[in-house]
Amino acid sequence: MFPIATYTNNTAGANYINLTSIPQGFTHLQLRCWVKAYTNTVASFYIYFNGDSTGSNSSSHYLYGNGSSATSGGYTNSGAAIGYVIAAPAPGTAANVYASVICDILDYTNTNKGKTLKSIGGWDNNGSGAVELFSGAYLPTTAISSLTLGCDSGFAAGTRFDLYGITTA
Amino acid sequence: MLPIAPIASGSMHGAIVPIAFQSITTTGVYQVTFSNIPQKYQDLFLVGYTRSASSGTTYPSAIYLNNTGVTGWSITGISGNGSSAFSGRNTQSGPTYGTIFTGAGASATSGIFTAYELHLLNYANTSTYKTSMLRAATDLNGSGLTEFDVGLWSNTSGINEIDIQHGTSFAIGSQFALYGIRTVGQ
Repeated sequence: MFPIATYTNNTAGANYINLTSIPQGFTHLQLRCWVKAYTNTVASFYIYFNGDSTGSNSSSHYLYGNGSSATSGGYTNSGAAIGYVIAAPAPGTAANVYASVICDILDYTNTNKGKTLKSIGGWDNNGSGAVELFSGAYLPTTAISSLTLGCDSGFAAGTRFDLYGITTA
Repeated sequence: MLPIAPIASGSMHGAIVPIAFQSITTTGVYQVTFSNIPQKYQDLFLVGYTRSASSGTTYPSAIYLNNTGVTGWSITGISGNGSSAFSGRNTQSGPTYGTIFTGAGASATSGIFTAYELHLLNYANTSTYKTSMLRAATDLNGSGLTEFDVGLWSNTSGINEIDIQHGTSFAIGSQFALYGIRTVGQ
């Protein structure tokens, strides 16, 4: 696993963060996220591949826990994003609390396959919080060259993303 | 926009750096401690392969930070036991453990250990609380548990110590490997 890029958001309320020109020399990608929403109680953190917001190009499933019940669901051709990865906490919810999320995107340069994202993530704030295991499918066979990271209320300052490439033999 | 600069293959360095490894070779070891953890990486990554010597098919294993015990811990988790899925929570008002998972106990099938990974992102920063992610798996041929827990340690200190317990003592053969994860420029 090799570091590709790191980005720390210093603009409170930034709606999107784009990681572009992703090198095509690795086998897999891993994105490690330290995420906080700018406003609202919680807000969805999500990812587009290649800037593609076509709803019919993605679908997803999730297993979610809120501390009292576990639920599973999904979206079919309905999400503009590949993944609504987690609902991130906002300052009003928890001043010093960030969500942790790790996303894996396998075989991201392959042009004969759709792409599957899997992630684990969550946050806790002493009586509230959420955990989620997520899988998202991106149907186009295009290689992934950019990631657009979005948050419904914008990202809080201090939000951070670290992108890694994973090689094979 | 953040265009990513091309990376020359000759300048690439692996992101996962081994920090320390411990293996249980004797009976009666109550706690495994990784101390003096370097503060120079972006994340910490602990891989455990553990079994308790305490009686029972399963037994909780707990992890604490900076030798502060249960203080400041709360957790939200989800788990499945082969027939149902659950989500639960532990708050600071009554924590019995730090971050916790259910691991194999002394009565489990011989040779079966629990595999888990603990991620501590942004562990060295001194301005935010710490969010831990723990993914654990135990299968006992007819029973078992798969779980994912996110913990909050309400402390802004950098993490310089990890303490691991599993009942009264670990079973021989339990192993723990600690890694640092570098980011660009580290």
